[in-house]
Amino acid sequence: MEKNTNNLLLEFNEISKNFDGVKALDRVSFSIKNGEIHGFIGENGAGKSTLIKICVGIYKSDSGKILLDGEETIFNNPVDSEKAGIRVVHQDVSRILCLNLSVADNIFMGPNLERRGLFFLNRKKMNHKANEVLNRLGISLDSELRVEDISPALQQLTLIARAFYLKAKIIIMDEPTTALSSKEIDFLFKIIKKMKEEGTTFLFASHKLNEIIEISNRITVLKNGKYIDTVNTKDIDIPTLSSMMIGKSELKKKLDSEIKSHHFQKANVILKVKSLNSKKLKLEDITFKLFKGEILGIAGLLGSGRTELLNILFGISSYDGGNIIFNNKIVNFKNPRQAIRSGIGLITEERSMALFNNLNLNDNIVPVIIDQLARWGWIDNRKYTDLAKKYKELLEISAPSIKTSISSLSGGNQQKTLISRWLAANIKILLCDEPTKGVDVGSKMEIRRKMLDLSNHGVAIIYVSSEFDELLKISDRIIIISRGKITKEFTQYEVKNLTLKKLNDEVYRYMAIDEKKDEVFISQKH
Amino acid sequence: MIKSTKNIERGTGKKIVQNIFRRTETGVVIALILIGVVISILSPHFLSLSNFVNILRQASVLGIMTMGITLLMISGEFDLSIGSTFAVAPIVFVDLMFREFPIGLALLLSLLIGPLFGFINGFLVTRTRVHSFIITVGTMMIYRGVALVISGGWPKSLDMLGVSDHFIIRALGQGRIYGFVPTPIIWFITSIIMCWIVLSKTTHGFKIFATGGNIEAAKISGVNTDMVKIINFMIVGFLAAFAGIISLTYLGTSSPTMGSGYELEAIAATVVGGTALVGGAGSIIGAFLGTLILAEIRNGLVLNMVDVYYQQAAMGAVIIIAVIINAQVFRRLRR
Repeated sequence: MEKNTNNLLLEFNEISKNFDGVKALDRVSFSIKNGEIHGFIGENGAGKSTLIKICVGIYKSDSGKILLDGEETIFNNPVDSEKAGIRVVHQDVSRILCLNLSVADNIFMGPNLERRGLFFLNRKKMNHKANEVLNRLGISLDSELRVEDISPALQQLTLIARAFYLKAKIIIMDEPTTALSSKEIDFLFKIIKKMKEEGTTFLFASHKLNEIIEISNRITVLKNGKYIDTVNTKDIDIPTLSSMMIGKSELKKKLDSEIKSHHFQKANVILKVKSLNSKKLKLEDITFKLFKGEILGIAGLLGSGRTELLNILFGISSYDGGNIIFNNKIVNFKNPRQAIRSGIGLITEERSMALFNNLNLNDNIVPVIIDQLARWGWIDNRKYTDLAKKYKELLEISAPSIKTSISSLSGGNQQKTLISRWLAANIKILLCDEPTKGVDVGSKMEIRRKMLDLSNHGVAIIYVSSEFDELLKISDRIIIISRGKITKEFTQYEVKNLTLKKLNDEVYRYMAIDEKKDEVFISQKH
Repeated sequence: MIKSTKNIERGTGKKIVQNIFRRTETGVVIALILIGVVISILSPHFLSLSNFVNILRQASVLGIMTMGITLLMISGEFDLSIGSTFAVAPIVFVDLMFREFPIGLALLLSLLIGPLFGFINGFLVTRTRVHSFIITVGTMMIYRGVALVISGGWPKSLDMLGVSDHFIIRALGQGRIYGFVPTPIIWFITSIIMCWIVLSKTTHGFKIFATGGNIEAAKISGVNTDMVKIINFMIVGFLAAFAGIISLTYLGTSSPTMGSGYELEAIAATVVGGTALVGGAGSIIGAFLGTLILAEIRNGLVLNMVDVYYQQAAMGAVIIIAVIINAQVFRRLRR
């Protein structure tokens, strides 16, 4: 695999790890060269996160060795690995940063705080030093701002600045771009490249293939816990990578044929939204119709009001003016319970908002209909188990059993579990907020197929996504929402002839009007 | 169906053993046995049937309250007012009997104090969204005040009423089944079974785990989380009132200061038994074992004639040790 052994920073040698008899990693070996950006891809559940956790000492491997600078190392906990110069930047920064402290505090936290005497902090010096670090990286950010007041992208950059200041040998980026807009991603990449030039090595784990190809020098592919290959980025393209990662394209063919066979006829209006207004949620004059059996795509960026709109429809948030007409009746849901009773379901943008991590797979399938599985409050165990088994099979949720802990499943399987919740509840409208976010390519296609299947059975779906190619593929109509207003609607006919570029342009057109406000990196307050 | 621990699967041989060791309760059982071994080495009187019955009897009153607290804590709330409710119910019971209410009616009315106080707690917590910890510190003082006002600050005994031999009183606290098993134990076991059924067999139990595990997710799934919490506060209140009356009928006297400090002991017993302080996880069996550990320690201290003044401190130390043993065992075995 690697011939040039003297330039290797980090080597994984035959790493294996079992969880409950399931092989999460099976004799994985590869190595990372000094000063490179090493892409690391695989579907959710392929073993990326497990390997990263072993690398920093959160898990112990069952067998195998890790060599850092050619020396065998064993980390018992993350503190050890940080001392050795390995730093991780997670997707979930709130677990590493202290949100209530300033950027500067977070950069120097620990023994590097600037002191005056024994007990007093030298805030002035700290802020000054922090600004130096940030400037050197080309990040224009006021180091005195509290971390919770800045955007997720800047929070990540704060972490990176900290790693940079601490002279990390290698920075492991674990799905860093999930919460970022495309502009923010560009900026992040610029910083990463700059740090690479200064000699920092990166391991960049992601399942967004285009990003990996853009940023990395070499790419390692994992599949089902097994090492597939390490390739030079310049020798590879997305389709090849994708097939290495998934290994099968039948699913894609199936999906394509189902998309073609999805015919939707405008007939019965199931939901009408008339000049909906909300000052608090910054929504203005939202008007649209939703037909039975239709997939209505909503294209919009983070903060455009798309999530807020869904929250109103589901009774989570209230509104000031306008009407919601559901099945020819004016409704005003005060809470999700009323919306569910009418037959509306919601897939939230964050899976963590909807999952019961303390419970098992079966318990996560049934919560919406738990009362229907019981008589006088007494749960019918057989009905319960049968139902869970049925939906596990129907959605092809891969888990050893229905009593597997939900938190041990991959993102894709968790998302399928959440979808099964609403399938079981026999809903009429499904509101989906980024249903394929943070989900591997295979599950993504399966989720889209399920959506098509649902709509073929007469369920109306509102499909919010910031992956526009996905929207183009499965939506019957698309509306664009921008700054709390509907700025454009593409009819069924128009959608058929719509290109990705055109959709992109339309979404960004209204953003461009006051571009300056939108430069998330320059305006620091989020 | 719902388990306090994750990922329990049926299997054979090794797997069964593994699964046993994965349960939260295993750590508690080990702690229970370890402490038992230490005490029995120190005192020869510990290992006897009558002493075990004695331990169970002493555990009963606190145990009945612990069952309720366990349900409530799994749903993510605390109740510090139960010690006061524990005092108010028997005081009202005695007071009503002094006013010549029939004993059955007096019992019923005084038991209803519990759910009423619980409802007030639950209503305030769910409406104001102030943490239950602080709300129930407030109601703890208010309810204690109620106890002092009604009783006039004086203890009262059942003998003054001449009802000590009434069959209801005997059935509640004074009697012994087959002349051997004290009735409080029967009530304790009944409350364990009832709470176990509620937690593991009913939709309410499911909703308790859902609410405590992820309240936002529960709301989005259509669970009326406020209702779940209010019902739990009412269950806790009822069990506290019931435990208070059991205590009165066993001891024969009510006093306005009785039960103070019980709220924390009940929480300690629950946590020793593996219930998560943040909610979402826990078990009735674990809470039962936790209560036993507390009673076992107290019994051991008495048997070894530890000075009363030292007992309290020793008790606290052993609670901490028990929780540590449990956590350590659990962590080892799960790895």
